[in-house]
Amino acid sequence: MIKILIVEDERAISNFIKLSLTKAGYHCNCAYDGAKAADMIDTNLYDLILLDVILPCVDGFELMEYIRPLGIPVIFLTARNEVNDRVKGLSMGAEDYIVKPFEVVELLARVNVVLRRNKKAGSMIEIGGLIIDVNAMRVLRGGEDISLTRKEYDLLLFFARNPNMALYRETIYERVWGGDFEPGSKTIDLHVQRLRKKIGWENELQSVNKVGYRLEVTP
Amino acid sequence: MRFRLKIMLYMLCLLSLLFGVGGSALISISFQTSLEREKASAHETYQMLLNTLRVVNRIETWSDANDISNVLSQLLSQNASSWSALRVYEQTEMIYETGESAELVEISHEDVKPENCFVSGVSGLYGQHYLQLTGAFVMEDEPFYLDALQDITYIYEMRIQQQESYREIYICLVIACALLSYSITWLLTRPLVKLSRASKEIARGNLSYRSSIKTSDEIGALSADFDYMASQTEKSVRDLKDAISRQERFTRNFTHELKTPMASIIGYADLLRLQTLNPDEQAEAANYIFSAGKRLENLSLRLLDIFVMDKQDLKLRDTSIRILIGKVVSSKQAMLAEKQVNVSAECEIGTCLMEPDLIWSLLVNLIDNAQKALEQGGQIGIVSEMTAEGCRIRVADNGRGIPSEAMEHITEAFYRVDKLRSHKQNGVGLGLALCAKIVELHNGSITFDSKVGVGTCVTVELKEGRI
Repeated sequence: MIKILIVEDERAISNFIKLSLTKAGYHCNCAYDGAKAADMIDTNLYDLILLDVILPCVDGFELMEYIRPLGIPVIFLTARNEVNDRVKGLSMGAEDYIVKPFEVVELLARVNVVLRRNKKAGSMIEIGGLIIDVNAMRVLRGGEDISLTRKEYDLLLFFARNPNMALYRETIYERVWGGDFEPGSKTIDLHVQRLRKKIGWENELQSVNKVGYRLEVTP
Repeated sequence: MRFRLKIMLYMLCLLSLLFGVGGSALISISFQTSLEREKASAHETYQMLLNTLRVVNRIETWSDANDISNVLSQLLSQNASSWSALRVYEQTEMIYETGESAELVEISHEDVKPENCFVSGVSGLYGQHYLQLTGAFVMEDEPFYLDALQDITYIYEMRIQQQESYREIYICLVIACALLSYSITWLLTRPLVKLSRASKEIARGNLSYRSSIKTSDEIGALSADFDYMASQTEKSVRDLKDAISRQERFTRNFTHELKTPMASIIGYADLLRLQTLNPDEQAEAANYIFSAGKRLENLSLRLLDIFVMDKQDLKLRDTSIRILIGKVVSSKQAMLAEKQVNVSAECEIGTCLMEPDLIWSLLVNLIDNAQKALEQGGQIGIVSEMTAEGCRIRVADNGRGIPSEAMEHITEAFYRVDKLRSHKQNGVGLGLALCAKIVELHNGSITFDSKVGVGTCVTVELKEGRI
């Protein structure tokens, strides 16, 4: 199981990140100040660290100096959307940064990207009786390939990465197609219907009233 | 052109002119004097010669010109070098001639009388200079004339020699003058070079550079003024930089303060709408959203207080500070008693002008701060006294105190001495900023006196006056 350390002094935010990531199947620890975080990094093996810039005791940039030689990927959490701060964070070796406030889907997407880039997450996703080979872009059910269009595949991958979450049509459109969703558009619904048939997720891909869809799978 | 070069050239022109005029005047005066002296002595010798001739004539009467010639030859041989040439006439006939008589100028002897003698300068054929003396004497009622020539070439030669020596001296003087005036000007203008370097250095951004010239003249005074100007400029620039960095800190902190609760609200709301949470998780999320919302509200109200409050809105009323403190303390009593904090108030009777709602807010903030500084139980002492311009209020506690490095920042918005504890105590970091603003509106002052581990005493002075 992938272990993530959340270094954030604001308990509300720390707790929210922990809740989101735990729901998505990651194991999380929280540190509320820089010194504590350094202790925890010493005693545990983490696959990813989410690091707030402004921290009591030791600040995020200082902690980054400490983490860098260990080769653990870091995502900065920052309230400041200033180019200088971002450049500084990235040039210090951070993998990515997330500007507060952020949404759950964005957090999960960035975490996932960083983990895959660092080969921490496997390239195979097993979910709802399917095996998705992310590197080969293949979808298998019972050892047999299912042929999907590019958009159907992207849509499937988005659901598979955000299981048990009510995904709004706006969010789906933004993430899979890119750009702004036009209210009343049937694009998503059509694709979901075809996907259901092709991969046999008639029950798993549930429609959520007035919102969008949810992939319901038992973890 | 450089200043020292200019001065040198001016000095050179001036002094060479003065030396030239002065030197030649001196030489010509000395020449004139020698000439006069020579004339006088020639005249004297000539008279002596005439007198001798007269005396000799009276003793042994001469019969002819030959006698005169003999006498003269005798006289001349006694006193050989005195005359260059002599010529004696009887009437118009020359009877005696000796020396370089060719140099003698022929002159008519009509005006020459025995009682006077003419002296005139004569130039010789080969560049010599002579004095020619012409006089008359009477012998046996016959007029005789004596022309005498004296060589004075040596005076002219001396003048030329003097002029030549002076020319050498003159050149030396001019060179010395050039060197001296150049180096003196260099010495005098050296501080100016220093001053110029200082101004360049300051222009380049090295604001702490000073000319520091220690002379007691006008340049020294200029340097002192310059240094004063530089230090004032440096101070202003430093103040400006401080103000900018304060402003930047404020913006940064404000963004952080605003975004943190917003991040909680958006995050938990997002979780609530996306995920199926169990009732406990739901309650937790809702609670976080609520408290973050409260924090935002608190923040916006405080900020509004600080930024919107204006001098014009201030409605001053004659208020008893003693009664006001009593009210604030009793409103806080329950909360303080719960935390085992003991409050004492000693207040002088009297009223002064203030805006009571704002002072209420000020007192609440100061008491809250004092309470937050106390770990478990403690003492808060409030003292107020009346002053000529208003009143002075002291709020003291025996809590943890403020570290000295934090002192200058404590009235800055969003500054917190201990960020972690402030969050636990639900502070937004604006309390003292608000207090400072209220005091400023009352033309007053707020000062902090604190020692870590001993306690803090805040002194507020209101100076709106009394009725």
